Amino acid sequence: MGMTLREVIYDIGGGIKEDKEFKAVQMGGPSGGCIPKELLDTPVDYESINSTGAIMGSGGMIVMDETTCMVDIARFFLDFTCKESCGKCIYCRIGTQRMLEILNNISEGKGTIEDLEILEELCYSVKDGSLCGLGQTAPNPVLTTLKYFKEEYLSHINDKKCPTKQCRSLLYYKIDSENV
Amino acid sequence: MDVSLIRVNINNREIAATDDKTILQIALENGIDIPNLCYSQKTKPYGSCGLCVVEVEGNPKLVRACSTFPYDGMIIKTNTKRTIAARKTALELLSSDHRGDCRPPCVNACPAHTDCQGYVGLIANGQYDEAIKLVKRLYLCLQALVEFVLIPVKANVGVVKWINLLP
Ligand code: SF4
Ligand code: SF4
Ligand code: FES
Repeated sequence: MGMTLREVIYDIGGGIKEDKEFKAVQMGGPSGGCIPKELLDTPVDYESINSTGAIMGSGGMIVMDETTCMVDIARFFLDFTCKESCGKCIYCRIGTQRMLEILNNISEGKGTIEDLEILEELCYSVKDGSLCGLGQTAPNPVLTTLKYFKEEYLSHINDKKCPTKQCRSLLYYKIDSENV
Repeated sequence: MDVSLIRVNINNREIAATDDKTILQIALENGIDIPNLCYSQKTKPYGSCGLCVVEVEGNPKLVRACSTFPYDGMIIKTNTKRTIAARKTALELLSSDHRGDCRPPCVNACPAHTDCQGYVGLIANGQYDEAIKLVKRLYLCLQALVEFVLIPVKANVGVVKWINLLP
C-alpha cells in the first residue's frame, strides 16, 4: 500500500520477462481497468487507483507487455462478465452482449467508427442502469482501454490492422517469392 | 409492521404518503406516470427491466421506483434527461434481443393453444402463405382475428400484405 505501481511491478515483481516493454496493468480483475504506462507512478491505494478508472479489487495485477492487444484484452474480460451475468437486468444481460458483439466485430476488422460511439454509450448506460456491482463495473475494462488506448481501436477500425498482431482475423500472410 | 406517514416530493409536488408503498405505487396513485414493465400489482417487485428508474436527490445512482420504499422528505425526479435516456436504452436493448423466437409464457399458458409466435415469425420471414396456414389451423374464427387483432395494427406493412391474402 502506498508504493507506486512501478515499484510493485519492477522492484518486487522483477519487471517484465525478456525485457519486453511494459504496456498496461489490469487491476481489479474483470471488473477493473487497464492502467497505461504513463500512469505507472500511481501509488497503489484505493483513491489513486480508482481515479485511473481501474479498481483495487483484491489487489491482483495482470501485467501486460507490448505484445498484448488492448481490444483483445477488453474483449477477454467482457466475455467473462457477460457469461457471469445472472441475467436479471436488461442492461447487464443484453448490454454486455451487445458490447461484446461490437468488440468481436472490431477485432475481426468489421467495426466502424459509429460502433465505437455506441460502445462507449453502452458502457455508460450499463454502468448506470445495472442493479448490482457486476453490471455496474463490467464496462470498466472497455472504458479504460478506450480512454488510454483509443488509437489501437482506431487502427483496428480504420486500417483494419491489429498493431500487436494478436487479432487473427486481421493477419494476412504474404509469400515473399524472392527469398524462398 | 408499523406504517408511518411521510411526505415525499415528486417532480416538485409535495405528496403525503405511507412508507409501506413503493415510489412507483405512490406516483401512480397520484397521477404521476412512471414507465414500468416488469412491475405487477399481483407480485412482489422484481426490479429487472429498469424502465421505472428515477433520480433521488443525494443518491448518485439511478433508483428503481418499483422496488424502492421512500423515506420522509425524499426528493424524487421522474423525468430527467438521465432517466429518459436510461429507459430508452433499456427498451432498445430489450428489442435488440427479441426476434420472436423464444417460447413465451403467453404461448405456454394460452387456453386456445395458438402459436402466435409461430405466425409472427413466419410473417417476419416473409412466408405469408405458411403463416396463413398456421393461423387457419389454429383460429376457428378468422374474421374475429382480422377485425380485432390485425386491422388495428395494419400500419405494419407485413400485416397489410397479409390481409390481402385472406380469403
Ligand atoms: S447487474 Fe447484477 S443483477 Fe443485474 S443482471 Fe448483472 S449480475 Fe444480474
Ligand atoms: S414473450 Fe418471448 S419474446 Fe416476448 S418478452 Fe417474453 S420471452 Fe421475450
Ligand atoms: S418496473 Fe421493471 S424495474 Fe421497475
